[in-house]
Amino acid sequence: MTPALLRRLLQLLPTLLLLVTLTFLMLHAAPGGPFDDERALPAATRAAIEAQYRLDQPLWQQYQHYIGQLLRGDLGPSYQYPDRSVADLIGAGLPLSALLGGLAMLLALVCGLMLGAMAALKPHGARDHLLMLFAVTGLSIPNFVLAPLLILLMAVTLQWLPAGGWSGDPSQLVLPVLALALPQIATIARLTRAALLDVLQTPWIRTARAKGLSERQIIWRHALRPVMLPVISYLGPAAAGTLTGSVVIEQIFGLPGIGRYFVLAAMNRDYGVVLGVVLLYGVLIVVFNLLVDLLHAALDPRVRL
Amino acid sequence: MNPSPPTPALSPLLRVRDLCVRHATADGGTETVSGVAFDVPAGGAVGIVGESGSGKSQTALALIGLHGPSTRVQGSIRFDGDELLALDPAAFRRLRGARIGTVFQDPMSSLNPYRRIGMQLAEVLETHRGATRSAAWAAAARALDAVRVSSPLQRLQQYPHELSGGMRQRVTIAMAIIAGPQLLIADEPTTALDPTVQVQILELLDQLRREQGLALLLITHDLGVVARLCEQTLVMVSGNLVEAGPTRELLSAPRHPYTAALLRARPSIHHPPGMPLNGLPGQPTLAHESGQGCRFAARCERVQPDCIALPLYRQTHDAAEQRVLLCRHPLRPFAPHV
Repeated sequence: MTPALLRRLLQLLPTLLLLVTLTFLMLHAAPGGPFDDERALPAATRAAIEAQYRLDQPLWQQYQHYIGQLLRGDLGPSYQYPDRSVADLIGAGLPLSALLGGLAMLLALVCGLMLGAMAALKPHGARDHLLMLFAVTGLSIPNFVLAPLLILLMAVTLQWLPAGGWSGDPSQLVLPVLALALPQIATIARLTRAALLDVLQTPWIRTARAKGLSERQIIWRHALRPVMLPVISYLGPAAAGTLTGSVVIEQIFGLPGIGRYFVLAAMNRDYGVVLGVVLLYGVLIVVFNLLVDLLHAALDPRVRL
Repeated sequence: MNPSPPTPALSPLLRVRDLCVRHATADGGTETVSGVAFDVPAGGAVGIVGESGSGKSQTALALIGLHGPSTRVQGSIRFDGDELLALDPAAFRRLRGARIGTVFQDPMSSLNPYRRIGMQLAEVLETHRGATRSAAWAAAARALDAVRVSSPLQRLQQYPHELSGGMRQRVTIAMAIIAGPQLLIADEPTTALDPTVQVQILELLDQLRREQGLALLLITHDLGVVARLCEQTLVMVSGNLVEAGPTRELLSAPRHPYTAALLRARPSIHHPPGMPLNGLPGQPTLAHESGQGCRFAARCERVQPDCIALPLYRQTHDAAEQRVLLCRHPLRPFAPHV
């Protein structure tokens, strides 16, 4: 197990290197640069700044330098905020984004599993149809529509919850978590329903019934594991995406997470921040996918790492 | 007074009368089992023989109440004095696994691949007997030993995919008998297995029946299997019970043309190579496709106009319905009633 895990971890490195390289090349291939502004800088000033950030060097030297930095664990400076490093910026935004995303995924997992199971236990009944209608609705309403609707209802009309901002008050997280979680709840509910319906058809569930087990025992002891597998497969990449901040949700609710930095950085050609966030996202994706594989191996005795 | 055949016990363990299984479909419904009646005496062995679609497996599922929610079961199933069709779901559930054990066809898919063998065995006792975990696992090891599984203690910790097909079928048999049921229903228990393993499993079933005194209801398409194990044999065609009787009598002197055709269709080691086998011509008539007449008529070599035109003709030879014939033109009619 442990050597297999080590091998898997080592296999992640080339993936990440490829990711960084491609992002690096695409950023530099895109027209414009971090210091192209509407007001043209004096040539001498511009040359000085570009020299400071090594933008006057050939691309391969810049690349070499960046990789060298990464290997020392340094994400480098921001090109837009000269006094702050990329690590500082990510460190400032990530905790809030991760809290928001983590709460949303937790809510989505609990609600999605419950609703999906409720739908599957009485398939094709009124409850099932209602739940699946909700799921399709949840999937088809984009969150930039859902979030303003939630604000309108809960903050403006009912005045139960604050409309946005972040001063450390948990009630400020309720609406963004809801807006972020609802589409995920819908997806997980649909996955759960389909998986549970599938499992309940299997001959070994019939055997469990023939043994006289109750429906509750059948669900918890026999059906839960195989139902969790597709949900976990979905959850891994989805969690990586949600934890690194939802650009739209953070913008609408005025939350200072990393989603906002990322968009601004991409627009401003802030090479350092874009590469840093992409790398963070990449690391999370591969780590979560590894976790998914580990969980699969833990849940399914036929799977070996 | 004439010597009468051995009188069957006054109330058999399982007494099925007028069993009808009907599936609700968009266009009304289809009947897969029509008016089946038979007895299984305590400790006895009864076989149901039929081809795919004959309704034999539907009969088995109806007996343990595991027909689907869109299926209606009518008639009477009396088990040890209780009318099963009148039981509420919870009471039926307490009966399943405890007093009626069931073994299904495919041991590859009838065990949960995600859970250990021991847990799957032990939960039967935990559910029905309220056994503690350790007591149930100890009993699980004894049950594996009873079905001749080698090194039972190690097997308890294993997962189904780590066992061979024959081994898995032994495990499902152990699961079906661990709570000491009075009746074991085995639905094609050897069909998915290698021939050598088939023989071992059949011997195991026979041995368990004798040692533990449980009654066996064996469902198969293989006449050789009933010949080996069963005292009574029922033959089903398209949802109808067409012939029933003592196995030896039924196989040596079949009365119904279908039984005779089945016997002829058995491949033999003496069959000349290259010669076609004596299969039955045509396709089985689905129960809902036929009118009131005989459902074997389309494939019967003895068919007469009245077989199709007139309703089914049922002849019972003794009061306990041990010998039944559903044919207007049998190869041998019953001797006149004494």
